[in-house]
Amino acid sequence: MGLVISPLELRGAIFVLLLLLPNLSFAEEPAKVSVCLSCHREMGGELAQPVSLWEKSIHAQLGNNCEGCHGGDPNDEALAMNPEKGFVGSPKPEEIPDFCGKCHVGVMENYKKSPHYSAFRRGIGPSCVTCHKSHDVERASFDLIDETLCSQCHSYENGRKMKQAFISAELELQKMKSTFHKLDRRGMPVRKFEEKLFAERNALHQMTHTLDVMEIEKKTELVLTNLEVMKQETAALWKKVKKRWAIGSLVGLFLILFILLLIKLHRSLEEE
Amino acid sequence: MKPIFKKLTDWLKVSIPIPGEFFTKVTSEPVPHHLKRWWFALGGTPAYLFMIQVVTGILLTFYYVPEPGHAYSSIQRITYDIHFGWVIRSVHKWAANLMIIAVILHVFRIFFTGAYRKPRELNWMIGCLILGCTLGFGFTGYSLIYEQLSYWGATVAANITQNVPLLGDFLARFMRGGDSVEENTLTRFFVFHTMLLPLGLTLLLVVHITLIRLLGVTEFQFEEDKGKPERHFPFFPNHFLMEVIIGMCLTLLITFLVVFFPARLGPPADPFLTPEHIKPEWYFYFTFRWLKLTSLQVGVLGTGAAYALLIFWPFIESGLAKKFPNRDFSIWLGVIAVVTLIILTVWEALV
Repeated sequence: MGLVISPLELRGAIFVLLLLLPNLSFAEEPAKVSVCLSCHREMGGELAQPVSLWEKSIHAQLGNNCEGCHGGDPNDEALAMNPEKGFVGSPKPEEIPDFCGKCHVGVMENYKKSPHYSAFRRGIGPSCVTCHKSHDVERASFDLIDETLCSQCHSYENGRKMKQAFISAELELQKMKSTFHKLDRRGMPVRKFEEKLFAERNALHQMTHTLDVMEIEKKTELVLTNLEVMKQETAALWKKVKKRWAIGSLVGLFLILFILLLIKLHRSLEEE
Repeated sequence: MKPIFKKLTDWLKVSIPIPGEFFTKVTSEPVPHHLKRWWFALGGTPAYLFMIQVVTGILLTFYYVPEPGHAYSSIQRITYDIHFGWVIRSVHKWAANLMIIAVILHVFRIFFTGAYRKPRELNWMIGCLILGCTLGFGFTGYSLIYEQLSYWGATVAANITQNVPLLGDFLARFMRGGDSVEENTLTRFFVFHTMLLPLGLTLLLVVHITLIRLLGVTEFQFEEDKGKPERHFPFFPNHFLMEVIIGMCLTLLITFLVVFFPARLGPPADPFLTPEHIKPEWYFYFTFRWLKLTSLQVGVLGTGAAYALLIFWPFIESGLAKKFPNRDFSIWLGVIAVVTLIILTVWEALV
């Protein structure tokens, strides 16, 4: 019996396909295009620049669009820049910390305690966009503490100390995170530990804007001590995992022997 | 010891007045020689796995609370606090997955060997219903965990059901017990998972096995057997022992999976936070991908039509055979079905 299609079958198949074709479409609806983006793109030049910069930013990656910072209605051209729809436009330089601080509340509080803010109020210090840029906002990272950037205004000595302290704690935090992930895959309860770790990490990251070297070093010490306690607690979980593996292997071994015995019995029955 | 044993057997004979010859007749029925091939002896696998599911399911029900406020925490308790709770839950999870694989493989084996043909059409249809029940078990069971992905999986499934022509709204409301996945949904899924589906599957299995016994197992002759007379061997102990060996191998596999890949628990369900990626369990990947490729109505109709085609294939095939006597359409259909299933499943798994 060969797999041959007759002309009749072929015509039938084509007919069914043609019937289905109009219905075949990708189920996901296309995303709505923001009027802010389309208008600014069309304007070109300086007014179009924020769009291309924003597209490369962490804000774009996380889905924070124009209206997230500037307000307005991105779906209606007439209301896009309407103050009643929350449109606030661009902030003046002195308004920048509060403008960003609408979302980054903790960071703003710490920044306002820092020498950077004191200098900013005197009109010589950096604001958020000095380090993080305005539209092409970069993901917060310790790499931002950089000699080239810091030494534009002052020496890098304190910056280096802070960076070292942060990175040493961050490496340990990441190691611990991967340990929790491994334990989770082995069926251990790690949610509480993960929450603790998240809190530690958060507290540490908030310190970045205080710029108080002594405080930061103290905090990183505390984080490392807490991580050591967590490490000891997770050691007990690892012990439990290994115990399970040992017992499981023994049960497996017993089952293998039992199966071999049954196969032997089956063979002897066959030979009879 | 002997007199006590004899007393006990005598008492049993009086208490259960069934002649011993009956048991001998039932257990020693000859089975065709091709069942000595391991691949053909896998029919008992889903039944063995179902028994594991019943036992572990009952044990899980001792602690599970089918109420949105407590469902997740009760599973958390089973997994992390109760003695051997993690073992029971992991065995239940892995045996469920293996049962789905076993039923799918059994359906394919029957299909490609043509064992569904006259007079076994009804038993084939019952087998297809068993497949549907098994998938129903998977879906309802996964939703009972009430973690973020299982909650949203149930929500998406209910929304998809809404697209069934004519009955969509009724079915979706019946499934959810309201307008959204909430308290009533969990109770309904629990009732389906622990009462209606087990009852339905047990009845289907009883009819399935009874029909196998009444109609006999399909006889196959392989190249090396051609020209030789039909051979048989006794069900007990020979074939029974083969089934026990297969069962023990499965137990070994489950032990390995349970110990090294135990059941995990994701974050709890949050009706106000839609996860970035919603994915069903792997056995629904093919439907999910198919639904993404088409409009929802075509997707739902297509899935329903494919299942109906599978159920009624013996009759469709005999109709086609009358028109095209020299064609074997089942091979075509089987190959297309397997390739499509694999492509859609792998595609969905990779994205």
